[in-house]
Amino acid sequence: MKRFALKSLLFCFPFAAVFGLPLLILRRSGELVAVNDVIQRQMGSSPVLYGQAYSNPVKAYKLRSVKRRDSAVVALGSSRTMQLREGFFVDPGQFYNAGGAVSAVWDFRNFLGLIGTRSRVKVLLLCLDQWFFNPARPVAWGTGLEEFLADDPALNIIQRNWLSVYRDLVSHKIDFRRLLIDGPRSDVGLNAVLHANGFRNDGSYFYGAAITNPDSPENLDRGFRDTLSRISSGTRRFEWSDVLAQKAIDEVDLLLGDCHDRGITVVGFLPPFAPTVRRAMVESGRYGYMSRIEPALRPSFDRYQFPLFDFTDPATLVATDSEFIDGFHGSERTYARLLLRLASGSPELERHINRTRLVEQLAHAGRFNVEIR
Amino acid sequence: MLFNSLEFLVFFFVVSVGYFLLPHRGRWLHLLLASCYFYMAFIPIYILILGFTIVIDYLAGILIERAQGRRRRAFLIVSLCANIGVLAVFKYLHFLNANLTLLFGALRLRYPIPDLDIILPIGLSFHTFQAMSYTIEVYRGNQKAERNFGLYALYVMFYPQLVAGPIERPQNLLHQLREEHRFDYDRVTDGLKLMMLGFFKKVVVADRLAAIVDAVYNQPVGHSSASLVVATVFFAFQIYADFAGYSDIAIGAAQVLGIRLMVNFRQPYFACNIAEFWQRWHISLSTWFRDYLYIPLGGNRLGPWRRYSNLLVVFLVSGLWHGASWTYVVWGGLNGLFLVLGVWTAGIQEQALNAVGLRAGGRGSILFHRLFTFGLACLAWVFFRARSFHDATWVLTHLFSDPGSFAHPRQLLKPGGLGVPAIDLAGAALGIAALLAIDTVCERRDMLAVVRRQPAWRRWAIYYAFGFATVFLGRFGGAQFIYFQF
Repeated sequence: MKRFALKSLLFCFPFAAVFGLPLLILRRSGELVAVNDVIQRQMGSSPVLYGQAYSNPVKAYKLRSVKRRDSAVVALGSSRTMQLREGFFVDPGQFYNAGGAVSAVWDFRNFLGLIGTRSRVKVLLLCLDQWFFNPARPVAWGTGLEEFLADDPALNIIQRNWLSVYRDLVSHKIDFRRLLIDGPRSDVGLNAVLHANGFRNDGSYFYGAAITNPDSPENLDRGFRDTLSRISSGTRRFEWSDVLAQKAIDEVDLLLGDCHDRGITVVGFLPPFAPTVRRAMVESGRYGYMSRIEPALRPSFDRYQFPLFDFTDPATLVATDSEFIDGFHGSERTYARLLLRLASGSPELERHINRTRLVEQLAHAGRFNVEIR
Repeated sequence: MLFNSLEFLVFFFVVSVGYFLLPHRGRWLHLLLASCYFYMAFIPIYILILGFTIVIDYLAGILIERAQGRRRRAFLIVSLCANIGVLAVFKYLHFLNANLTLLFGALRLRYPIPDLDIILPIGLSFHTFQAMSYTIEVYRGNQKAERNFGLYALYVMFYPQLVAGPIERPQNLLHQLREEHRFDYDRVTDGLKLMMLGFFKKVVVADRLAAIVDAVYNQPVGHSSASLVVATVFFAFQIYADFAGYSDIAIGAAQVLGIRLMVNFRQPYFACNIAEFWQRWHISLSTWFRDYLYIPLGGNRLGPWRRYSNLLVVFLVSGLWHGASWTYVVWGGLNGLFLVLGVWTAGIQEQALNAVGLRAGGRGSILFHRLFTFGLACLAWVFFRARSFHDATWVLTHLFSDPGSFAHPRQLLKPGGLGVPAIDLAGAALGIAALLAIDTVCERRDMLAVVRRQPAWRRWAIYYAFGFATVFLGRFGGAQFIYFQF
């Protein structure tokens, strides 16, 4: 037995030497916690911030969360949906923010198909990113279904990232001392633990560093520089186009039909850009497709008697640059106002929000965040 | 809990260490609890189904042993009905309903039985067959009924082979679970080496091939003939590496604990005909069907035509065992047909080979037979892998419809080809080469014995080569073993 133990140690030594430290860091930071376990923890009463740095299973996380929680009101869309919080609603348990689960227009129907027909979703807040309707966006139609279903197992995360962990240690991106010596914490993932970035229990996203220190040089979109460079180069979701992707419009029509058949009320909206960014897009004259989206979608929404709001122009929400986290992500303050507008167009949604309290919360809101009491 | 997961590695370590630290009398309970935990890691509630069949078969075994004449037979039938009933409800009800609904619809009638929205319990077909082999062997008098309920439960639930075999016989496994197994250095290290080989086959070979096969077979329409052929051949190796890898891990994990499970694969693609292929592929299932279906049907004792029909029946049932879908039935039927035709035309084949100058038993003849058998197996695999009957027929009718695509292998890397980078294609091909190299060694000698005879530096170089290849080249995307679904 002793000989065996010695030889086993000898065999394992090179593996331990290579992977030991990354494994320790990934494990301590919660990077290896399985999505189902995160959901279980977030369904408890104490707050758990979930922000992984080395993997990104957002689609699977949001899908499974919606299935487990079975909330009546669900916000569904890209990262531009993630500022709607359960505290904006009468019964917080009845809302879940599935923002981040959708990266293209066909993801909506995939998502709804996967949550099943037995789901209790009654109101769907549908965030329709403008670039979903841009034919110049380089995305292969219909891809990405597997991301809803796939797990990212621990072994995969270690194999993929062990070298990055060493790199990040050398470049001091990982605070080794804080991670390994400080006591146990409830937050999950390196981003959550070190930078306070991550999904809250209700699925909304808390931007830690970006809102506590928005003028830090580490904030890549300080003064919307990054977004404006995307506009000038026509890249990374800001591809130029004057025409609309009719296929995407048709897809939304199918989605609305599905929702109607399932008895789900849809409240659709095109999310806002920061005023400076919006102005730059208009002045460039290269985003003609954006003004065509709402008129193209309107007949479908009208047919099913679902409301649709176009907040592409931030003036419709009286939003200012200072309350935007970056060029195309409004803050909770922006989205609280947005929710009030959505509710005014949908009696079904109006029943789920406490207008008086929300107005009061807005009155006391900070530059970015709304304090939930 | 998948074998190719960090959780399993920790589980295996804890269970094995605990096993050797415990006194002999507590080990079966330790293994039983570990097996329950292992099974419940999938869908906990399904342990009740397993518990139901275990209780029925445990009691049936004792009652069969005590009873005489017709009562013996009656208890056996109750046990078989319980097992087949569980299979029918959880595995075949949906299939049956779908087909009967179509039939009733064609007759303009309404089919009354609703579908159940249930997930197939993992490994159901495997442990059900293992449980059935117990009551049949007790009925035949080849095995004494087990009085210790826990030991019997462990026989069905022994975690290394619980979800995908090998499907053991009570005569081989039960007594081993009762015996004391001391720590034996050579046995334990051989078990670990086998496990390492299994991990290599699964994560380096099978899962790398899976990415390419899935890209084609999930949407076969639009792919060139060359892509379809490559994906089909890759699937043949994927499923082999996947299932043989699982079997190696299972046999190795059991061997560490001192329990010898039956060999499940013996280089199947070196078979010279389909009959031999089935003597080398999934041996525990082939022999199960031989012993409990083919021979009771009359085997080859009732003349050639009855033998052929028995073979076809066995293969059709085997197809259905694999999955509740017509594609599996056709896959089984094709294998049966190939086997029957092979037996029927054996003489003609020899004459034909002699006529072209290939001596029977010579290298050329063996190579030809192997390639031909592999080709037949691949044709049948198309039905096994395809998502639907329609996809399978589409693949088969387009395998060679575009011969020009074979002249331009670079097209495989372009849209309409395999849709993967050249490096992935090269990695997959290297994986197949490694698999064939391993099989070539195993065909001639006991590979572990060969490794053991090497000087220490070479042995350790081999261990590290496999270890690092698995860690760095493996895909740990959480892909299930294909046979788990059965």
